[in-house]
Amino acid sequence: MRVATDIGGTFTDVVTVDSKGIRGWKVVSTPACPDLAVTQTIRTLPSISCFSHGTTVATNALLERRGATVAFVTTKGFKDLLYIARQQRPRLYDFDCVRSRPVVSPELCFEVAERLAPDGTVILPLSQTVAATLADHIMDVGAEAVAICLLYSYKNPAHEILLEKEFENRSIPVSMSSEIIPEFREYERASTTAINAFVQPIVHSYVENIRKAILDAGGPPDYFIMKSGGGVATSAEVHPVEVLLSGPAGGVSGGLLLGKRMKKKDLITFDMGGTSADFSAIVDNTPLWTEEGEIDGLPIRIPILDITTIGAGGGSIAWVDKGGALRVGPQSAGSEPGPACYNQGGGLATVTDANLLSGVLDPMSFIGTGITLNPDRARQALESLARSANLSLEETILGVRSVVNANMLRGIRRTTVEKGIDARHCTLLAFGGAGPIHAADLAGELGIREVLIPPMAGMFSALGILLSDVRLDFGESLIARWNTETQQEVDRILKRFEEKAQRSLARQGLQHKDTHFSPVLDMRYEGQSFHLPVAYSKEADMAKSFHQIFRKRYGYALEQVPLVEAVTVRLSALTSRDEIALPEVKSSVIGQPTSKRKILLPSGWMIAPVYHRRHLWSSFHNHGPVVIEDEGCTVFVPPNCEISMEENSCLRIEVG
Amino acid sequence: MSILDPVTLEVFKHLILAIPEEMGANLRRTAFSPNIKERLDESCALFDANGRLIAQAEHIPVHLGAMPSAVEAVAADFPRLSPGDQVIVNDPYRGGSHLPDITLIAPFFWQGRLKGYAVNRAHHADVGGKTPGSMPGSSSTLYEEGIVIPPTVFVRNHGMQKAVLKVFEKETRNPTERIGDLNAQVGANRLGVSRCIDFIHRYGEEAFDSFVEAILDYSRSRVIAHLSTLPDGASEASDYLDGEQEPIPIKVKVLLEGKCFEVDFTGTASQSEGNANAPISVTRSAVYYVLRCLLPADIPPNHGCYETVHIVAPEGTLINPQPPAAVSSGNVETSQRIVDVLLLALKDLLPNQIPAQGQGTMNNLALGWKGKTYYETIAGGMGANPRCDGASAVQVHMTNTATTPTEVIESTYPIRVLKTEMRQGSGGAGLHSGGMGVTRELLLLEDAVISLQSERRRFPPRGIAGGGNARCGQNLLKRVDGTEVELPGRSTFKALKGETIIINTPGGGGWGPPDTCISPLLTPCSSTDNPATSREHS
Repeated sequence: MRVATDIGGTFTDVVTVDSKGIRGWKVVSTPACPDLAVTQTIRTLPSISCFSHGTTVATNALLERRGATVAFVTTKGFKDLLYIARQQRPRLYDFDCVRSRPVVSPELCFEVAERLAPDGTVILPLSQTVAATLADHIMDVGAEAVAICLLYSYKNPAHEILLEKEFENRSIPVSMSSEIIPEFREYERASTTAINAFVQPIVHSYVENIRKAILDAGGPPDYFIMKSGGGVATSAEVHPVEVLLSGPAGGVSGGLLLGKRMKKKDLITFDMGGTSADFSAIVDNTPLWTEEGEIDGLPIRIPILDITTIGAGGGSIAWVDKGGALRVGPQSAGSEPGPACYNQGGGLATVTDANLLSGVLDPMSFIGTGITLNPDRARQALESLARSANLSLEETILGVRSVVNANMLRGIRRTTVEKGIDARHCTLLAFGGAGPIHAADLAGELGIREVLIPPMAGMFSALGILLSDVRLDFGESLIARWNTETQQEVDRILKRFEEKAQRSLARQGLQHKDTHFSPVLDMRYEGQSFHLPVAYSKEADMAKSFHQIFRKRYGYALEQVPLVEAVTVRLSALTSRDEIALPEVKSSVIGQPTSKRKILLPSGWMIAPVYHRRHLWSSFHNHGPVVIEDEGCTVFVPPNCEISMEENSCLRIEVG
Repeated sequence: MSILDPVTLEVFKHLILAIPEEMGANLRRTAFSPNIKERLDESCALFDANGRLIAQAEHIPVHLGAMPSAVEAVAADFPRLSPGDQVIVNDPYRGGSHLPDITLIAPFFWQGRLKGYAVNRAHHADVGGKTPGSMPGSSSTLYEEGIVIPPTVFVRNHGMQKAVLKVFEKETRNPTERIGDLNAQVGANRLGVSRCIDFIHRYGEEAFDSFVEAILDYSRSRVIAHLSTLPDGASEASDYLDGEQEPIPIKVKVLLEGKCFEVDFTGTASQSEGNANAPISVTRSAVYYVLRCLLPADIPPNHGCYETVHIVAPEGTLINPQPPAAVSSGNVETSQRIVDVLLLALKDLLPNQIPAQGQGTMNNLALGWKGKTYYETIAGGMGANPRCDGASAVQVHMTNTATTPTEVIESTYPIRVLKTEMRQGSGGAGLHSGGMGVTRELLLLEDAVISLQSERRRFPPRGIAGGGNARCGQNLLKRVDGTEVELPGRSTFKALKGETIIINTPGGGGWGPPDTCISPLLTPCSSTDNPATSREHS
């Protein structure tokens, strides 16, 4: 049996596949001891053949600053690098602004006398004695892990390696910048390396606990873990910093695989849960990555899927501000006390309350959580909001829905138009507990014509982790004018990466012949700071490809004067595991709606048929308004939209 | 014009505010000047047809109040622009701030009617003049500081005008880079224009017009509501720029009364012979900045915010100079002092809301070689406040530009960065201590022309409520033989290969008497404030 789990704040989703098919369910998360919900689940499962996992354990450790006591070592003159950062204050108009706290305390920041030139040649050699003395001292002060980041180590790691050996002799875990991200910009590299050292022990013990539970249950000796950049790798092969955004990456990976199967090259993934909504774009079967990832104000420069998070979820609180405008979020009622309709003491109106009163949600069948929604509580909360907004109750209900949609539109715009992607040509893939309720309205606002609701939409991130390819990423800074010599250097680097990938795949028990290698060159005009990724091939005229991509993105190109530079060489190696078929809807018996409900729309109240998703048939087709109830989510189809059943049990909404 | 319902207003607000943000993202990603791409010294905005600010994505507060004057100048000079046109301007007396800040203004139309302008401003690495980087240590007329461009049509029917490009080719030190930056600016405006037209196309011209009125009303009413909660009163303060010979006083009287916020600079020094003059647009930015800090963070910044602000700035003074006075450091240094003096005045009116003084300078350092210039501003300490210590090693008040990474500087320029570290002991002592400044050491690998514009070398940032003053900044030149010479706050000179420039930046002032200990649960009260200590100069 193949198993995937995804830990969320409230629920842990479990998806399994075996000869009887795919199955999914939710168990309650155990935030105090995050691996508990997973290890308990593992014990209940028969014969695990392969286990994959998404986790927020590293993120939470970082946010709460619960990690190792780390010592930081850098080049002489720069010991305050983590504290000075890029010298910016986090907010412009705030006299009280406090900077993000680095993960290393200032007295554990050290410098060593050594210096390299920008090309990696040694200006001041690092002496063995200096390295040994520093290592002794760091052991004496009680550090539990060491992060090393020296200037230009991406060009020449010799000095970092010399230090690493000293620490290894003293049996203390070391994170080395030239290994974790061999790329220029010393502060961002140092921050990433320090965070890796900081979360390492927690990630390590968590990984070990799960590994033991799998072994005890008779499963394999290692398992797969979702990476922030998408794709999985065995837990032994990932750097702790790579699992920081493991959770949301599952949904994007799932979107990527589903998109390929549905022949949709350009997708926007939209995952809306209780507290937030995550957006990402997949263009031409390739997800977008960001080079500006950060958590809690600390930069992390490993490949991270470019996911925009907006504080808009089912629990987002609606309120009226001092200027009389109706606002939604970013505060959330969370799951405790939750929306007013949870009847757990929360008295503030939320998006879920508005969805309930508009008739889209059914009080009796919410998320399959056993929670029964209380419409009277929702009504009280919204009536009070309506009074302060000076609107009618109905206007308020519709208002909350359109304002939360407007918040999310800004998220989609950041994901698409700000990156030069025309949303109108994309398909919106909606999942999570609240995504399929809002998807069609959002699509309409953006001029998107097609929405897909995947199977198991309420636990799609876990499904994505289950289906995900094994992914290895390599990168190295080059920064050289584009010419034949540079091209030869690029080829040498790529060859080295490929050999590394093959060794790693062998360790993970995977076949190299199933691997798809994607070499990419980050390029820019000489003098610019930001690059664009260009797919690399030996035969292509790379400068010409770059001009074309630049023009497509920004509307002009500078073909005449400035020269083109190669900044970073990257290689990703994707290896698919055994393909899992998604279930097809087999029944061709045309069924009837399970009920009918009054739904509030901008044009007034309308009667809409309600179906249960598991009762739908293969030729299902209907006009909006329609409501479809699913395990863990509800799909809402507004008027002037059409919904139909497609392959892979996907629902497709055509937006009119 | 009908005022929009609260829901539509909120929906449109998100759509319109996203436009300048998107323009800014594009501009940074395509720019060549480190000032724009690494240090983010740029801002983008939308204006309506009457030149009123609708939405702004600003990263640098000093651009806050300066863009409206530029749009005003363009609207006056060019009442009949066409679609596809863009106007360029950097004249500080026609809405510019200092010459390196170049502003591009693109009108947008609906069915032949002017509906508004997309605007962006960016700090170019060099615009000619007598020193590389166009930020001379000393200059006495605008013409020494670089090319002065009055509002001029630069793009006509989508095509860049050769005559303007030729000026850049002839008069600036790295024209290829300039043209790259100008392309980036034109592209960002083109994007803004097309997004605005898309909006009107989708929601209608009337919806756009109603939105403009509604969003200005909304901000105006939020600002008035907040100002009305502040205690009424008047207060005066003075502070000083170091000055090349004599200290230069800036004097202000602040009046808070009902919804009115009045700032009167009468008594400020006459315009300077040097370049510390702050054009009125810069002065306005500093006043708006202080107001923004006092307001709730979620009020959209637009024309409506500033309607109840009244500024009295006598002509011919340091804070409203007349041409052709030099202005290059008004934007970067005098603007900081205007903020300091406003906060000094406000601290008596708004006890416990005002922090101690921050570093009060941007420590501008420009290095020039043949065909290459490098410019940076260096962080210092933030002032402490009743709630927490001042942050260390950050940009304060009117700027928030980032560092250029050492690995980028050394790969591009003949410089070796020897040290960037916290300047221990530079923050003012206090119950909450002021932030630390920075020590930065740059070794020259080739002879270079150095320009320095820095302040708080004579008068330290002051503590507040009994907190101690911070240490002054200090500029040093270390000769090849190891001897150190102190450099003045403002200077331009030729330095030799092997010499090291050392900049020690000021810290921030402390808050509260250093040796007291009070429960963190108690809000410290203003009776501990001692105007005598904080008003003195050392």
